[in-house]
Amino acid sequence: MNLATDRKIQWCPGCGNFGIYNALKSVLEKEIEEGSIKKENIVLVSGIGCYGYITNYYHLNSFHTIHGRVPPLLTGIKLANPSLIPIGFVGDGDAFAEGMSHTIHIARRNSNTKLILHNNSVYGLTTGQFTPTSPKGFKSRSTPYGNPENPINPITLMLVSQATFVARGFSGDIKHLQYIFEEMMKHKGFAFVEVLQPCVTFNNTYQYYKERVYKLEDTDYKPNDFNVALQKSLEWGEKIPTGIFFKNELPTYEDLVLKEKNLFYERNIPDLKDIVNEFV
Amino acid sequence: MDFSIFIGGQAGEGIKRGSMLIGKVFNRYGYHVFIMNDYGSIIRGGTDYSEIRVSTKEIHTSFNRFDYMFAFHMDVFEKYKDKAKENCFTLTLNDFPYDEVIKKADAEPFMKPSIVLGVLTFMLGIPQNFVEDVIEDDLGKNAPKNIELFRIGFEYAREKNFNNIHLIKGEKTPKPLLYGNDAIGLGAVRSGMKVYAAYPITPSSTLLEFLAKNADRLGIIALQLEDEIAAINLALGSAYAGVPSMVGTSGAGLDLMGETISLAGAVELPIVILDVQRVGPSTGAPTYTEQSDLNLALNIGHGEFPRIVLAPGDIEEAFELTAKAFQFALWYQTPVIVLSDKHISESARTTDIPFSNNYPLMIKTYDKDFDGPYHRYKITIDGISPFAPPGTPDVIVHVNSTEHTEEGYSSSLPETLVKMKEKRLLKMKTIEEDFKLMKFINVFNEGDVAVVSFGSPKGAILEAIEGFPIKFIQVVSLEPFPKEAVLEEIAHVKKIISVEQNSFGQFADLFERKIGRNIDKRVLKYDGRPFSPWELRSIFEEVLK
Ligand SMILES: Cc1ncc(C[n+]2csc(CCOP(=O)(O)OP(=O)(O)O)c2C)c(N)n1
Ligand code: SF4
Ligand SMILES: [Mg+2]
Repeated sequence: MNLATDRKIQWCPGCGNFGIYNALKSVLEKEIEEGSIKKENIVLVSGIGCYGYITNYYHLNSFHTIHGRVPPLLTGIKLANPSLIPIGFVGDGDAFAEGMSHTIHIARRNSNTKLILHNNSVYGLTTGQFTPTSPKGFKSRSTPYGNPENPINPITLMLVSQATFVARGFSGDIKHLQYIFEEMMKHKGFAFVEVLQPCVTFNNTYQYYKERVYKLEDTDYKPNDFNVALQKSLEWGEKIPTGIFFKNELPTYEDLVLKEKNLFYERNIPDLKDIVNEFV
Repeated sequence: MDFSIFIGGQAGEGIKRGSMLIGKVFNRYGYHVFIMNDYGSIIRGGTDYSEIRVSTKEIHTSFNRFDYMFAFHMDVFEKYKDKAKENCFTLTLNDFPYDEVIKKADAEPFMKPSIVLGVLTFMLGIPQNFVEDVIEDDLGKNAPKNIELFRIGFEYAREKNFNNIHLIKGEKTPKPLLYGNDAIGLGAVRSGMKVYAAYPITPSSTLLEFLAKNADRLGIIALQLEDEIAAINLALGSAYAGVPSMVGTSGAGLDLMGETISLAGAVELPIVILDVQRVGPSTGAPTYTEQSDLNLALNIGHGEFPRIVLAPGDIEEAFELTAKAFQFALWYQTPVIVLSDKHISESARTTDIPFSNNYPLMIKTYDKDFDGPYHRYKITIDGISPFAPPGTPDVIVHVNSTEHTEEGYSSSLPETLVKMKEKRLLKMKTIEEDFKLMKFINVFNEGDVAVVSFGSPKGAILEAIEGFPIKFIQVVSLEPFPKEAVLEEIAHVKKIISVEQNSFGQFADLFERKIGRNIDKRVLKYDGRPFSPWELRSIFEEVLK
């Protein structure tokens, strides 16, 4: 099984997107081969950014949509046909600038979908402006004298937004990323994975992250306590935790909204007689 | 017999609910009913009223002159008293202690209309038990209190010896008395809508509420999202997954949906967008009616893509056109906008809706043997590519907002751009040709003067031209514009009058541009209140002179 398409991948050589692409590719290939998911049921949704072209490179159903609107599309797909497995890709621009509210709302709805954040802390495709996750003081094309804003912490934000699976990976550690994606695929409910993604052209953070990241699994950390997770999410500096911060199973938005309805398969048109009679 | 009842008061005094109850009584008593609700954008206070128009013949709109006026406060009466007809019966707070009666009966202010119903029942000589049965039926657990109030009103009228007549039971069999938004919802469901997504905004919210309340029995979901952008993107996700979906909003919300309407056009997915117009620009007058989003509907969304814009003229058409909107959206795989307005959506009328009509959703489905490997944007002779939802075995569906190859991969090569633009042009041509055959106009009456209009003025125009040698041409599809059909109808017409509810004359401009003939008189109204038949009638009379 090879999910690659014949499209030429057009990211800068060394871009962190390759790591994300390859890690997810091998996880999905393995699961399809093993028969745990059906290939035709996977639906990839991406927004606009360098990372957004990722849907061109997988031989899987996809919807390359507009900037910032990935989350509601994911939910719409899942509601329409719950056997589908919607996986979203978002940039830090999509997730926290253009589409900030959707990112929070999909989490608090616990929509049974997955969202992978390509966090390069820069607008790659528009050539190097600062984003909501850029550090304070960050010199970018649009902040030549330094970013005046405080950065968003995606993990903290997703935790307080009640996401039921919150994890962080590093695109420089594909093996670990595979483990996180495997867990993400297993999760029932809204799964959020932040991937620290160096942008070699506008914000090369490989070395910076390499020196700092460590794995939560290597410690005695357990991802089952919200307060501990919240505290952990604030750790950022000399040491940067990666791994699964929090995991919890709760009823999903789709379960609550659909109440056993299957909109895709139940195509019968209701007879309106009864309801119309109430208007007489 | 054709009379109008005015009930005025403040928000919270059950004006809207009460007018529906009174409308139901007359409907079941064999009369045609039209209810128009005039209310402000506040929760308590204000000067709201409803007009309940009752007639032996079919009526198409509110009359805006009253035979009976009931006012729970003096300010609402003062505001509208010049709309009283000669010999109008009035019962205001000066004449009757509405509040004391409510207090004494330990009832709620929103039950005041039941007192009115009592007075009316006496004055019109309708059997008391007939009316009480309707109250019982309509109000459920609130019925006993309301019946008590109804009787107080009835006895009061008897004691006061109010004029009374004997209104005989009408011949019409009772029909559904529906708000326009209910009809739109039922039309959508009847044609197979399964997902409705919205963000609350007057005057579209009642549709969300109606569908949410009845979602389970209708086998659908009706969801409120964080904003209109989320609503339309969620609906588009469902459409992509193969489930007919719709969003509803009003002008400001339509603005927000613009980017996604363009997306739907580009990725070629079916979506029905309802715009219940209200007074703009900006927040405008949220609870009043206007037709000023026509240009927006025709142009919303950047870039060029095929679209269809349909405008129902009344509640029946609201049902039917919404149903058809789904047929078009699914067949042509492109956005369809339904333009309603407050006067259609929030007015109620006894309707003859063909609820059992079928509106089969035809989809150009993918056939592996015929089509070869699945290409989402396969070039075809009519510009419409075979549709397959994700989940189809052996099929990969690549949908792409960036310009794309037939397979759906991103590409901005000049030949790709030209190919896909021309594909969408071809689809537009197909739609135009198909619509020519469907002749999306309605023509009423004959004469060498023609009135041309679209949307809700239909009702007032129909009543205003009665007995006049005036032909009325209602344009139902604004995009594509039914040019050939209109040209044929106006060939022998000497004068053309346009009627619309906005200040720019957007429809008249469109008409002139498409038809190449000038409008002789533009009738524009932009005070947020619907056209009255007599108002238009005097204008037409002037033109005929
Ligand atoms: C509505 C809208 N506004 C602006 C843009 C321009 N735009 C394209 S990509 C992008 C930023 C992408 O940044 P990010 O999401 O971080 O992705 P990256 O390129 O870094 O992978 C912007 C602003 C757009 N496509 N749509
Ligand atoms: S600009 Fe940055 S994010 Fe974009 S492809 Fe190049 S390295 Fe990757
Ligand atoms: Mg970025």
